[in-house]
Amino acid sequence: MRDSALANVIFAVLRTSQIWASHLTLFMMVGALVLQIFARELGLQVDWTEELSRFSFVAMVFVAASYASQTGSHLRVSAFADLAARWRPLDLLITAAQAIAVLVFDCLFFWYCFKNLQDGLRYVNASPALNFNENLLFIAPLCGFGAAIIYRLMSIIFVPPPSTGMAVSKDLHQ
Amino acid sequence: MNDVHLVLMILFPLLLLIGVPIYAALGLTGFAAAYVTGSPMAVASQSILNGIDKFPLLAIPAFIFAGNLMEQGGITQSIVRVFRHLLGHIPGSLGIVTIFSCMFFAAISGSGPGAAAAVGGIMIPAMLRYGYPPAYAAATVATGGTLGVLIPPSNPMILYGIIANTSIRDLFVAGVVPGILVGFALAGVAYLYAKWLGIKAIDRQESDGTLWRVLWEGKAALAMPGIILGGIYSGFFTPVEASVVAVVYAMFVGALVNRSLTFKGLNIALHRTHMISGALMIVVATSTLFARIITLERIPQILVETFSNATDNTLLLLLMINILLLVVGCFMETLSAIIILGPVLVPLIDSFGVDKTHFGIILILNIEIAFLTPPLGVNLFVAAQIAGIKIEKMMLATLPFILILLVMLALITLVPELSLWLPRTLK
Repeated sequence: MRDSALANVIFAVLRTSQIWASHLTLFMMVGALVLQIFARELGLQVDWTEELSRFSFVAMVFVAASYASQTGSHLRVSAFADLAARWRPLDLLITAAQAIAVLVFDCLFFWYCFKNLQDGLRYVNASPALNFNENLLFIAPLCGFGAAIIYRLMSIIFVPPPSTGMAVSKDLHQ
Repeated sequence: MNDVHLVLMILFPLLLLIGVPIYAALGLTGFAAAYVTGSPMAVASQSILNGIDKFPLLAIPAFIFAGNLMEQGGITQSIVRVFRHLLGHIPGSLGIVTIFSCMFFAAISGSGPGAAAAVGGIMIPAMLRYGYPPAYAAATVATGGTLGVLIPPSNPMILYGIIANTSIRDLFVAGVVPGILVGFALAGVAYLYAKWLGIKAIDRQESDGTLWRVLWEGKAALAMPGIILGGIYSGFFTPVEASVVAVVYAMFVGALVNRSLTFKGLNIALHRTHMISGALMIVVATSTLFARIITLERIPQILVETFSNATDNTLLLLLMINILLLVVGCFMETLSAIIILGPVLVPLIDSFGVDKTHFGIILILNIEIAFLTPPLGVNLFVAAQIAGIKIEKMMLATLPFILILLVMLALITLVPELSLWLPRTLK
């Protein structure tokens, strides 16, 4: 595996854009729900807040899930894989199988989200309050898993820079 | 046995066994099943997206965020100081505190993983700080969090009430006595387990000031459940809205009252929230596709028909349904399990004369246990993620809690009055 300044820049752009997109959508979700409470108490009609919060949540999940997967925070049952890691040839085989399985899923999900988005632009599914085409939500997994595919393909050749040090487990142990 | 059965029985366990991320294992199995049946693959990706497009799920990342903000804003420390003063002389006090805090949060959140995330974000770091074994800390939080679905308000109860065409209010009231019983039983296990592990009591002398001073200094933190609960029961906001009130309140107290929440702390809280909720919610999303395949293959119906043909004894039927639910709960996300099995099981238990409210509580208790059983024990993942340990490592520590939950399940199944007495009294 190689180290490259350009690859490091691409890795950094991928991570930064995903984390900021997650921040933004989380704050939109929280903000919309807070507004919903105040507006109801003040007797204001803001029936779009529930839709906005739901759409923000869906977008956040797919971008954050992709980010979590790239930083190794994904959930898995690792008992057998860890046991197998003691025998080098089996470890290599399992690691390769894991990488291929994740990449295949990411590509399949990306491709069929793209197909859904294409169809969704032709046959609009408008939400009642915001009149937002709900099929546009497929953009979120397209962005998230598109970034994941680029990350995984680049990781085959280049060494990804270490995580920002925000890993959940490490911080909580301090 | 057809091709889909082979995919479900071979591909899914194999992918899990070799350590493929659970979301990818569920998703690939779903895509493979769609492929062999000739179903449109685009529908599979629609199922994944629709899997998280459920409004009650919004509470989970919001409570995870609130929990992280409370940790960064010094609210955790206030709570721990108070409980150290009150219960520090008891071995394993923080384990007991975790269970009671979960009971408290259960009355706020309505979600098992939400309660585990909210309390876990506070209590796991505290327990680790005081030298508790990480497996014990994670197991206590994962188990305590399960109370989130039994003690009202509860999202699964609402869903079951709609499916079973039974009163949601009755279901909420019916959950109170079993919820308190299970909570105290789990606290007892937490105490005995801590004693067996040799966890020492926290020295009261370590703490500074009198109890009243500690209570006064922690007033903002202690008021939080009151504000959330009061808000829900007064009708000021819904449980999902309560989760964002918790976020705003934690920010307010952390930044302006305690003055401990910095931009760096906020950034750390955001990062942790995204990592935990991202990793968790994508499993919920892909499990919807998996559940869809199971439904299309009529697997739950086949299992239920087998059980109903086997006996005409009500208790035996309930025992068999409990076993079925426990097995299904290992592989299926909670809301999906209710959506799929509810319409199948309700007519069956109704024909045997079992009260639908009583059965609702039995179903919810099974779901509680399912939160702790791999490979899809969501609370295990939440707690393991926060504690930074492997799921396998904490599974052994979870066993005593699962055993007591099974005892409570048997008790509540055998004694319907435990669930039905309060709703009947209040009618």
